[in-house]
Amino acid sequence: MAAVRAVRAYLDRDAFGVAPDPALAERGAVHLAAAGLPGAPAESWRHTDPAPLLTRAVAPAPPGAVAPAADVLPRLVGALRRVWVNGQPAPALAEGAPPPGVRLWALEDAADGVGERLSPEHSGFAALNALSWRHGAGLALEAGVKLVEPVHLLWWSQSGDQPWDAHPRLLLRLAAGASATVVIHQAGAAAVDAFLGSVLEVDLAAGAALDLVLVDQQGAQGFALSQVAVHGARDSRLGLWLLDDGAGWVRRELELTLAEPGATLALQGLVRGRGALRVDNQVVVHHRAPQTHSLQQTRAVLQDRARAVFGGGVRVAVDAQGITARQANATLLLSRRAEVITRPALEILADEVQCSHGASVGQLDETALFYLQSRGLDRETARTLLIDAFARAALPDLPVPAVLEWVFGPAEADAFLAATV
Amino acid sequence: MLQIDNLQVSVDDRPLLKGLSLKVNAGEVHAIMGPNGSGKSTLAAVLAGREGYVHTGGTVRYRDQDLLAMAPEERAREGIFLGFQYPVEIPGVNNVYLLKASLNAQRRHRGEPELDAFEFLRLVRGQMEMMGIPEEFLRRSVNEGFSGGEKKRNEILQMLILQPRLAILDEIDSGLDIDALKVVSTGIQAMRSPDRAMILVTHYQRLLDYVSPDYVHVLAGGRIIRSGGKELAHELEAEGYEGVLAGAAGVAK
Repeated sequence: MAAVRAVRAYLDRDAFGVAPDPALAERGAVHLAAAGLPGAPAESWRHTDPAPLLTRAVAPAPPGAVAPAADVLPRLVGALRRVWVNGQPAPALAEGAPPPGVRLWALEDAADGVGERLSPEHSGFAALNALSWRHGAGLALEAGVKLVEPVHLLWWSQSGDQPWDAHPRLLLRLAAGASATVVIHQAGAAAVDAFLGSVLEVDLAAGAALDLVLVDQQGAQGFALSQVAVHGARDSRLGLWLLDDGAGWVRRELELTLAEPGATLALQGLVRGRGALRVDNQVVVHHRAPQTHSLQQTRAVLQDRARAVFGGGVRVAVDAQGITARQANATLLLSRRAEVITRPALEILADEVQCSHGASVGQLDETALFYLQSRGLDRETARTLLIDAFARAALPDLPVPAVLEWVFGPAEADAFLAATV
Repeated sequence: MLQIDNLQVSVDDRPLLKGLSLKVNAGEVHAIMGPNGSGKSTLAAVLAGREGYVHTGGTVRYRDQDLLAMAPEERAREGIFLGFQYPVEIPGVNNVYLLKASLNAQRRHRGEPELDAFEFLRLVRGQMEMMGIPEEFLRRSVNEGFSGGEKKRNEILQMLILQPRLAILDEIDSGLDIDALKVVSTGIQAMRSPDRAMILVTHYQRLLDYVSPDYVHVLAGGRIIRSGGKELAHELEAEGYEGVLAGAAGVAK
């Protein structure tokens, strides 16, 4: 009955202050009370135990957290940056102003349209966010606007004496023909016991193009549950990169809808797991219209007791002819106790479709290790080189390569090449 | 430089080398020939330190050190180079990175300063020209998508840059057309010097038309059953392994 206890705790508290959208919060409260939080019996939760999340103490983020020194925080040079520390806005750490045609605002100040793509009734966690969100970001591009600078939205978990949670809410809207690159980055100090339960709604109008990078770097005590809903209109293009690195508990539920002909999705993912990392990516691609195309390529490199789950759902509507949907997953298991679970789930109601999926699991190639050693590299260096090479290959089209440095450190090989050849 | 005495090696309790002895001095080029399964590639792999081979007897001394006690990377840093019969493709690790990391690992080991990028590139470009390797190869992943001939030329390029004391080339000639064989042979010839030794492991006599060995050894059943000068290679070419093995049977057993 842990779930019930958790729900009650949320419903009882008022320490969060007034909800930005009281009607939405009320709908959330009603749904949460009726349905509770989802858990193990639900199919999509079969491989991830929500108990550690549901049984933890819940409290809002401590106000007035000491802001971290600016140079501690990950940074993208030239990006429009907005930062939240322990779920609270940190305007002093913001960088850059949006150019004409671009609006980047605190969502709590103008929450119109929140809940349209992901309603509070979608799931217990959607209800929880609808009830509990207090801060967030909105990004809107007018028709035809091409935003060149990446947008970096950083939710940073700083220390706190008590466990805490926060419920970010994000809304991205690209009007017809607009394009942008957005990095949503949830990271924090190693020992923070925190839960980020975020909801991201994305609307892509006809011909809009969004490169969206979701990075999670949680410490061993960190929990992150992100729900993402994307709606792609005619000829819209979504490039989606999922990057998980750390030792915490991460789950994403992505509902990606290719609603009109010509809409495309290209997803690339990398999980680099250590310690007791739990990462669960549940992706459902809805092909609602003919001539829509999706490609999902994910990789995992797992050490220690790390565990990764990939649920790759593809749903093809009855009249969505001529679509293609491809999925591939490759995993490098570096420890006997590491584990990967990949579950493609295809539901195809149209007849003329091309769908494929494949998964491979392997260990480091001993012959390649020996080859490198026979050239004078010590075994540990050789191992690191091979692991990083495998991992890098997961994200060949990453639009902001600097993001890789958060994970791999400075790219020695690339830097060398750039400097010489 | 290298002294192998009565070397015995097994894999999965199956003996592959059964008392092999060989002495290689600086300045010498030795060809080791033999039929498939005779133990040629096993010898090359054991000398370079590949895992999975169980040493059951005998000794290998390399420059007055116990070679078998050294890790593969130590052997490389001490100047042993193995040219692979099947060079490994390593997606995501680029050639130039591997070359530089290898060379600098050896230089550090010898107490020499690492080469800076400019010096390194100058060195590499010169050798690439000799091997007919285009500059774009540097940016490509190690051996990835290379043809058989390109992989072998890349092995020789690595050897030219690392300047080993003892080079062991395992069937470097296999899979090469005649033009590639000439290029590879040119690279090997360029490495001959009084303070360097080479072991050419080969199935065919063809390579030895371009690189004339000082000694030829015939390996069969995990032992060297005959040794001679380069004329032995011609004898093998004329009589086949069976003929030579039949003649040697009385000696070997």
